[in-house]
Amino acid sequence: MMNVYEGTKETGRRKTVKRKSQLASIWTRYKKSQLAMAGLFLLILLIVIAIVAPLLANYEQDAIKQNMPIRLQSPSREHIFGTDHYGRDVFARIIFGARISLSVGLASVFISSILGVLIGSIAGYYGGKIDNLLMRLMDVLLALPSIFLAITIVAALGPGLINLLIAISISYVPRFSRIVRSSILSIKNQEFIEAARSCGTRDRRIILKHIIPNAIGPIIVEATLSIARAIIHVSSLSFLGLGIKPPMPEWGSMLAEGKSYMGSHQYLVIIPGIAIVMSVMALNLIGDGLRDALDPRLKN
Amino acid sequence: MSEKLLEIDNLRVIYKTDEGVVQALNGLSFHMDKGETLGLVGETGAGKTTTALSILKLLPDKIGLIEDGSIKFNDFDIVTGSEQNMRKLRGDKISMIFQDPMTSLNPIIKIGDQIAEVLELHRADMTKSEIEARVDEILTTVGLPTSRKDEYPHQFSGGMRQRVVIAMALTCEPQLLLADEPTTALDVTIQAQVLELMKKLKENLNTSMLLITHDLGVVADICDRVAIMYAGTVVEMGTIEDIFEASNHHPYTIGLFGSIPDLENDAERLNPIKGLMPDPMNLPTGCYFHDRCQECMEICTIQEPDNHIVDEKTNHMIKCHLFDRTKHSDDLEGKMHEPAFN
Amino acid sequence: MGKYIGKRILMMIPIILGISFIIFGILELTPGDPARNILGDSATNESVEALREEMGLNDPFLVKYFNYVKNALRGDFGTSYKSGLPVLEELKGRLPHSLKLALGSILIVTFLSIPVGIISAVKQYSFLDTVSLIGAFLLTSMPSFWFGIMMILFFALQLKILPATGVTTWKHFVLPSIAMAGLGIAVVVRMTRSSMLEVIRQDYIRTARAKGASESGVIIKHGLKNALLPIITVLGVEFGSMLGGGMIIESVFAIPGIGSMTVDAIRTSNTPLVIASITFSAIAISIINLIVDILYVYIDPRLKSNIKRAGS
Repeated sequence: MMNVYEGTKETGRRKTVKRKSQLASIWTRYKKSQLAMAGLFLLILLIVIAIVAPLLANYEQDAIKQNMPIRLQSPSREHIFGTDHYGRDVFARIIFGARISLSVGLASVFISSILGVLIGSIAGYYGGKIDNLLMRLMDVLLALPSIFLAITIVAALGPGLINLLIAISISYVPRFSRIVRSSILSIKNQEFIEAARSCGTRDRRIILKHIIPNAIGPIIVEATLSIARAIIHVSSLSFLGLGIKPPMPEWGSMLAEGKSYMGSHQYLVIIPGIAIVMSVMALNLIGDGLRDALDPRLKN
Repeated sequence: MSEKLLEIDNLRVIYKTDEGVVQALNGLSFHMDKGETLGLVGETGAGKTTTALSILKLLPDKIGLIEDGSIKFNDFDIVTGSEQNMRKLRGDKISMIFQDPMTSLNPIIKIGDQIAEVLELHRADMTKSEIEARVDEILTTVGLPTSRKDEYPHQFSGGMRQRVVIAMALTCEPQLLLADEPTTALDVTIQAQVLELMKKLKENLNTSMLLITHDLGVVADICDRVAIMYAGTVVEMGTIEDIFEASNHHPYTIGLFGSIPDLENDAERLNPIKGLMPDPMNLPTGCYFHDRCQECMEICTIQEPDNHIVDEKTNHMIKCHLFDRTKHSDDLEGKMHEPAFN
Repeated sequence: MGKYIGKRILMMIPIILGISFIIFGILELTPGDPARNILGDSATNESVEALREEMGLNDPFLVKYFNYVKNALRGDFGTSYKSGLPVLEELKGRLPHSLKLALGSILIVTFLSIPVGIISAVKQYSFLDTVSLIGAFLLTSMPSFWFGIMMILFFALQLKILPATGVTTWKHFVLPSIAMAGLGIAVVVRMTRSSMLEVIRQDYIRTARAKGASESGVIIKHGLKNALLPIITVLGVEFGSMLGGGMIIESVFAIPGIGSMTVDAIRTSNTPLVIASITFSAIAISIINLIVDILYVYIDPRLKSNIKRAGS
């Protein structure tokens, strides 16, 4: 009895050591890229700003409430990014905008990656008719650029935060399910899956314990790049008036409003754009860095 | 006395890689006469292909560098020659047959056009129909039906593709043909056909050929002279008789012959050379072969041996301290080296 | 070959039907009553109900979809709720502007990105390579509408050398075309670079050099043609999203094309117009995919043999 117990403990420990070392080696490879590290720092900075936004400014007073006497003031010590046409503080709107962009991006990619993993693993693992049906559906959806699908859904549901979230989540599902399905197909017939199956392991357990961990790399990379894409799409839709509705301080709708005053007040269109570009860049840098770190062979 | 066509003297080539500097050629010297076939023999990594690419000055850009030495083709200095002049040589005066016919043809250009390209590049005075006639002619020479010139490489077998490659190399009737393991990638039966073809063409065109191979059987079949390469230098060079029949040899040559199965002599087992080729990023001092050499002497670990001529008539050269007449001339006559083969 | 093209065209049908079905289905969820929208708040319930019946709004979903497809095949995509004009007429009037914009963009992408990508690959790690990679990275991280706004700010308002909005001369299309091309430029530069890097390592490139071909001959004749397949694929994808993706750029530059019309239609719940314009985009994308597939076969003889083998 003692021996058996000792044995399992030993293998258990070895497993965690191995997993740790794998993560550690990914991290070592990731660290090597200065650009990837710069992206990570930039993202952390943005997240911190989004979190502490209420300490830096008052949402209702500075970002929402109209204050016509101080409208369209250029950047000054008092209002470092100036004020907009309703006299709202642009800096406050930018930092509260970071909350919206990052959280909508994260949430929609979270939803779509879960749906995509679900559909992709069912299709890939079971194959046959289910696979055919699901993947034909995904093919049809993929024939449209994802922003189209998102716009169609928004067109049906109407603008607004939640509808936007639904639209973007759904429109990213096909890509995720494709990626998951193809990595599952490449893993499915390897011997360790056969071994697990021959031990009588149930399908759900095989998918969750063996297949998903092995397909996680490409999913994470796609997820990171998708958050970047989602931030662009959210701002684009809001810019068109099909996304988040005013007066919420969304970067894209700030641009749409500022556009009317861009001739005399350039800062109104420059600053929100830089905020978008910085967050998208941070995520793209991280995504590229992760891709190289997870699969060193891909690097040329 | 025959005319010299190619003369390589003390050639040093390095590759700058991410891992470090690879010393690919370390004072390589040999020459070739007009119309002669020289076999360049050695293990993988000895620098055979690098030698051929240096002659064409096609070493990988920014990675492969000629550090020292000279390559003279007729009277043209290849090392200092301009890219423009080199371009005129390549494919016209010097051409090359590459190792793998499956990858060395452009997959999306008709084979007839690929052959014609050489003529378009070097025979500006030829008309379209002349070029076409020449392509037909060379295809027939290498034994391919002219009707297939409008087909693409993927429609041919490996042996046929190598015929296309040979046709491409020979269209301009070059003075020097560099053949880099032309038969290695082919089936054994096809190998013999291709070799026979090359032998015939070479004789008809009076082309000199540098045949790179690790197959001693091929060498015996086709070459006039042989150079044995080890770690980027020639360690022994002589006529085919010098190498296959004479009694004096470099220990490496003996090892090389010892590692070939022999059907006639019923040896117990093969005698492969002990150890591995030295790391080209970290070459040993003295003679590069000393740590694998059965005859290693103290001097071998310190001083690089000179080239010793052991047969004045045939210019049989061995780069080994064992044949240094000034030091142990009494040993030289027979006693030192009984060949391990006949 | 003809048989292959025919087969590919047949394969487009289920995709287009599928897309239109999904779009139709999603837009079925649109809240509000179109009949009420058309007649206005003052209309009586009876007249609204009569119009609903007339428009077929009370039919079950599948019947509605079937009728829609049946009419669409005859060229009838319904009438715009707003103007009362046939949808096809509305689209026709706006198509030229969108087409000019997309063509301008794809020309910019093609003739800028492919040379830059080639130079980047041939001179890997050079200054130019670094600059083009940084440029491509910036363009992928930038929303196209902001890129457009920044160009208006600089070229139209600051330098005053190009008009910011309108469609009257070719000059009006310069900035919007560049703005629309932005992302495509980045994608195609990257793809050209990586595809060329892959190809110039191949043995047949060395063979071409050994023949005495000039460096430009080697790169263009032997390199580019082999690297072209993936480049054409992304060019096709980019052109597709440009043809249908005018919504954002047309709004920024106030171009009265299909895109800005679609945005208007969405804002006003003008469903027939939305369905038609998105379906048209899907058809355009499918046609481009078909053209790309046919180009493949012309470029790569190996594919042609595959098709022949499969056909016989």
